[in-house]
Amino acid sequence: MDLSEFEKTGKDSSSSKRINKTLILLRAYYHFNEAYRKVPAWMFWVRAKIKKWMKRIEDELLG
Amino acid sequence: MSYLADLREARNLIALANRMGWTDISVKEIDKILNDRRHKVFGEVGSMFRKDLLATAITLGIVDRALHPKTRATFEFYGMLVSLILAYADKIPLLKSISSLAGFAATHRLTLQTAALTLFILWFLDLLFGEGSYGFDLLSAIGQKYGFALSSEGIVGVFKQLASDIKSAVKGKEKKEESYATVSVPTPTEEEKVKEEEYPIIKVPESL
Repeated sequence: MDLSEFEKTGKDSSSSKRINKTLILLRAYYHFNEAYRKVPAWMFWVRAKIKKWMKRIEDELLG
Repeated sequence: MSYLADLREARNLIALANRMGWTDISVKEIDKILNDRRHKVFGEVGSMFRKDLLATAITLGIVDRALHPKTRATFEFYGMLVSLILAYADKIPLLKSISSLAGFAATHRLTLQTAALTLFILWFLDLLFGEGSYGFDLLSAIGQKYGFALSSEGIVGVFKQLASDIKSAVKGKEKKEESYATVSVPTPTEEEKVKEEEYPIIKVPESL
């Protein structure tokens, strides 16, 4: 958090940016999850890719 | 929403995240999957062969074939009309007000469309090759010219005829095998018979 900026403007742009990014990744995770659920079982290579992307988002969100 | 639509949505969000500085997943990776031709072709075929739709089509086909040829065309035509009306019940002005019907149409539209399409195909085939149709007359005329006969039951009759032909062929073989097993009595050949007819043997009485 940039304290001087917060004192001047009353806004914390860095944390709002972080929250925005979290929300965007959460929405992306939701859509990846839906896609994973809908992909036919025989398209295993697509499922594997989606799972990998979901894992990356999980790592980002949960740390 | 299909899985491709969901992937597209996720791709747009990831592109936004990339612009904000998060680059763990690149958009190119997702684009590779989205633009893969295999998905377009197999995805469509896969959705076409959804289990419930396939089961509906097979059931309708079996029921239809089990019917008498006279009632078949009626069943197919009216079945097609009814399933089409039911499929779009939530868009037809008078039926729109019946909420249960509209709800049924909205939830089962794809199945109803499949039923209508199946019945239409069967009806069309019956029109083309069914008993008394132009197609059937044409085929039987060709058959007469080139020496094969069609059954009076249309295209189904052809298969029935084929099955009975195979059956009779198998039975004929069995009979032949049986006849080989029995003791055969030699009979005068045709040549011998002809010889007898041409030169009758005159038997001379013993007294002479």
